[in-house]
Amino acid sequence: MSTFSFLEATAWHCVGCNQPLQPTKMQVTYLNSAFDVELMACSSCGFTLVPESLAVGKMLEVEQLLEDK
Amino acid sequence: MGEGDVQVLLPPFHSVSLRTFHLTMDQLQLRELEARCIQEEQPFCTAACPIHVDVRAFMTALAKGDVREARKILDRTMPFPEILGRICDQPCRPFCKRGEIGDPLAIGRLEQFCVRTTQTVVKLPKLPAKGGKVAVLGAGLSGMTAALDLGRKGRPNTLITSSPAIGGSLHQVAESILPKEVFVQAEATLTGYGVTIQTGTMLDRQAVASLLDKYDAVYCDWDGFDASLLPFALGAPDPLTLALERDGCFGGGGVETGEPFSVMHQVENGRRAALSLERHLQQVSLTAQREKEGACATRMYTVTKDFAPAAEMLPADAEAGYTGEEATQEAARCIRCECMECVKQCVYLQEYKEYPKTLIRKIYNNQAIVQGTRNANKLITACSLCNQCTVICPHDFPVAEVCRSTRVEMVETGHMPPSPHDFALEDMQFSLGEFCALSHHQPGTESSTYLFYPGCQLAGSAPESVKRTYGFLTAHLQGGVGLMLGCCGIPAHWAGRTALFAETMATFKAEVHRLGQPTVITACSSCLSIFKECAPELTTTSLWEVLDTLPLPQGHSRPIQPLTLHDPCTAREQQDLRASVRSLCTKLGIAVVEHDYSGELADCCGYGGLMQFADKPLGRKAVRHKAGRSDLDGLAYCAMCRDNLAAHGRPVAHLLDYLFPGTDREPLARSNPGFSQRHENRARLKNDLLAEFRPEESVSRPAHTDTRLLISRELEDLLNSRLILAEDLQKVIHHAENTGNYLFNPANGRRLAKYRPVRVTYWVEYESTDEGYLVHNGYSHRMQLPEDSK
Amino acid sequence: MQADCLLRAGTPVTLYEQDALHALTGGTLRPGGLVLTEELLHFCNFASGSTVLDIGCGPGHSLELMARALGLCPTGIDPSPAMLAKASQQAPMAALHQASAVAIPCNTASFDGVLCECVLSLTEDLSISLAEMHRVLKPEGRLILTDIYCKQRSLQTRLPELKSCISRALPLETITGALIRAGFSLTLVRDRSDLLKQLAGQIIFSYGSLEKFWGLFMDSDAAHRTSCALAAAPLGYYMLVAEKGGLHG
Repeated sequence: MSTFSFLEATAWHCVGCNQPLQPTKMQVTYLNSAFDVELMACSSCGFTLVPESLAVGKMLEVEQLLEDK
Repeated sequence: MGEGDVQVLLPPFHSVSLRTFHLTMDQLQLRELEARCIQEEQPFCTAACPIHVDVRAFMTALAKGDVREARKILDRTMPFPEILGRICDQPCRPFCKRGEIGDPLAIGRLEQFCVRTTQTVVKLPKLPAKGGKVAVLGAGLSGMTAALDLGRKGRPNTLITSSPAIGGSLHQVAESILPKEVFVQAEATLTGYGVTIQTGTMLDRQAVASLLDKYDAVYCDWDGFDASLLPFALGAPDPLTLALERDGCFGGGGVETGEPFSVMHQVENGRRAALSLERHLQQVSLTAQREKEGACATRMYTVTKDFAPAAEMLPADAEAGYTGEEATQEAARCIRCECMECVKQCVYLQEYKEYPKTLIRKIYNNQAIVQGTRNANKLITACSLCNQCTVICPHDFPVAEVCRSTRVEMVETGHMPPSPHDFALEDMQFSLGEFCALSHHQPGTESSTYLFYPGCQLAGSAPESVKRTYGFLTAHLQGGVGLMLGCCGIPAHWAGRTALFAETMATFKAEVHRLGQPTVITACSSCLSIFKECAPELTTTSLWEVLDTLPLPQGHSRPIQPLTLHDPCTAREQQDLRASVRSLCTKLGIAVVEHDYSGELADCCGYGGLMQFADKPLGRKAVRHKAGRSDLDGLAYCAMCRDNLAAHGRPVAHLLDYLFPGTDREPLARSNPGFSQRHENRARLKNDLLAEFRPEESVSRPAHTDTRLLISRELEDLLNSRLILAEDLQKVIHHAENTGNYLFNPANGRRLAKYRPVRVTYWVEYESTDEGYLVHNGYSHRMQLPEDSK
Repeated sequence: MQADCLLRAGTPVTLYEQDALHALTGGTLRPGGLVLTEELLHFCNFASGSTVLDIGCGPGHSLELMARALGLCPTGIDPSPAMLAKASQQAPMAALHQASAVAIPCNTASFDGVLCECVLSLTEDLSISLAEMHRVLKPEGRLILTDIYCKQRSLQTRLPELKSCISRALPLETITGALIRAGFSLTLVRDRSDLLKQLAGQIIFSYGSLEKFWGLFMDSDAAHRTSCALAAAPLGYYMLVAEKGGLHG
């Protein structure tokens, strides 16, 4: 029942599989901790899209939280 | 492998409650170190005051116009503020530091102003009554003070005087200064604390003798009680306890031979006696731990040179004393003595709002957390380890030593987070790796008397300077000058990676040995400092000292304008090195202007201790602070200082730019190459030198280095600030184009690819063109995706 | 209680009844979730058919886990009828009672194990609760305890007013001391504050920020105050296994 989403309509599609990306539930991990997120990924090969806003935003925030910074 | 690996399983349990933990710093060492920081020592006035009034806080309150708050401060320590505040003889005044830059504060007049315009604000509590019969003979100010203090301690006592009223010699003070109501007030105060006042009591020898038998403890105030009435020979009262010959009898106050009557002396003795009597009644030691009583020494250290001198504010009406406005102005002259000398110069201590005593306590507490969240990790990794504070501190407080050894401990116990140091350590490994490292005798020779060690940052920043310097050394020194490219390992030392550093140092020593133990000539003061500390058996010297013994290179140049000289923090201990630099500047005809924080007091540019990686914004503040020491353009002789200052926007040249000028650029306009370019420069330097030394060999770079990238200047800066190297982008694109795994946007023809070489995933947005790959964006993260563990 | 119902600032919020928190922690409302529960149960090595009491069983996920995955005979108690209703659906095989730790409606020495996760700090009286747990355990029975604790005694009063384990976090020594006085011996005591961080990280990913998460249960001012107070609060998370009797008891 999350009200915050990293899913966005995206023009990127997977070249290797010649397919658009699908919303996919998965776990991301860092320093022994795992988190449930939903990101756009290719259903064939599993290539996951991490947009810049997520990488330098929430992801970095959680990485630093885990590092005690 | 270890750190950074994700362990999916929870760690195994062991059936032991809390494991013991060995701390680098134990409690005793903590206390010893804490004691070196004098920030919390008493200011000079408070130490000189026999009752330790918090004069500094008093002045602060008055300067704000808060007279009530000021009165509270007096109420807390002064007995009878309404009396003492009016006639205090200011034994503290000669010690007022303001006296060094103007007149000392008019403490007495300010006290008068305060007690004339306020009533008692704070009533100290009275402890519950304990037993014991106590008498005070003589009701001068000393006896009154003793009686009051004892009453507050829960010892109801009897204050006896033959005079018609309490006060003793105080009645000789003019009523205009000491109005009658203060005595009424004092009596009420005393009675409120359980003191029974007996005035007009006839005291002869017989009466005194029976009083001494009746009471368990007696204090004699010489100002109001005649010592000849005592039934025993007086002797000299013990100065520490004021004890007399007879057990339970104490005496003080009055006038010391040859001295004028001192009000504070009365109070000091009264307070001292009260404590002695209390201990006597408790049957405990009269003498233990009484060093801080009365006026005492202080280790406080205050620098006054930055204050403008200011004369005393005199009241317009001397009779009436200060008005509120005048008092505020006079009190505002207080310089609020404290130390904070190291903090004044250090951006790190200012940022984290610590001074050494509180800093070390915080670090100790962080390390003592065996299992659980530690919040001081950044505090420990952000220090530049530059030792400026230690030099400034009158007691040499070793902040750097504490921080660095704590980092070692954190690494050993697995508590060091990866991101502060990873990038710098990978940079170091690159410098030590096959693409950059080189170790060779001078071409055409089989042995080396000297070994030129330019250091990783000079090689990365100005490879041409390395070549020219080497050329000059080989031409002017006899016996063969070898060359070694690598990294001295100081990043590992700063990061607390003891094993890695030891390995690097061992390899270096072995290589120097293999080359025949030549004298190592370092261009970098960081390399020099670490070799002197960790390889003392080798002969090491600086390039500047060597160049100072040789003739100036042909074609040397100099700037037209005067330059300010920026010493690096790692040259702090190298007096000869610094002197040689200045000598070279003189020979070159460079007009060097010194600023106040050079030499021993040099600031760190932010690279030291890996500060700029552990706390990027702080690193920026550090370089801004260093640059701000002077308005002039700069001259540096440490490649890292120069590059950091240049990145900050300050024109700064490197000394080698004038000793061995190139034809292509103006030294003061040279920008910071950035991390990617540094890698490129080091690799290219090795290749160029190998072509000279061993033309048959060449090092082939991996395939991805052939990937041609087109990057705009702004994007280059962004990538540099994100610690993303051009080579990282090449790896991503090379991987993507070879595997065919990447994302594509048909609307603009751009590609988005990722690659995780070790611990960081790099993303690149780019498009393929005829001239190469046009890069639009680059970013990274450490969090792992599901596909990363396949 | 609807998650989007705004509460007045100052009204204690019953955390464990909130759907949002449930959804986050996969049906449980604890750092570590059911994975931690299972690991601790494995550590105790209960034989098949052992009787285990879950204090504060909530919607019954641990009960279901114990019955299905470990073959145990679970009993659950909870003061909330709404929770018990959910538990009877989730774990129909379990005996359920509406009760709290200070008065457990079970016979003396009737359980091989007691599970008490993130609940102890909610109980009204620590000593009485521990005495009750001691009473209902068979000799050498095991107690599994997980909860928040407070790392610095002096900052205890600044913990936010939430009706949850957070506001009454105690120092770890207080808890272990009380356990020993109640007749338990300590087999395992371990800090698991990493699980708190994991939960915080998950909240950030799922809600955008910790403050936005609190905003689901209270108005924005209170949410802001709560997230500031929590950021400063020295909270840790511990896991503990104790035995009735043994060396200390």
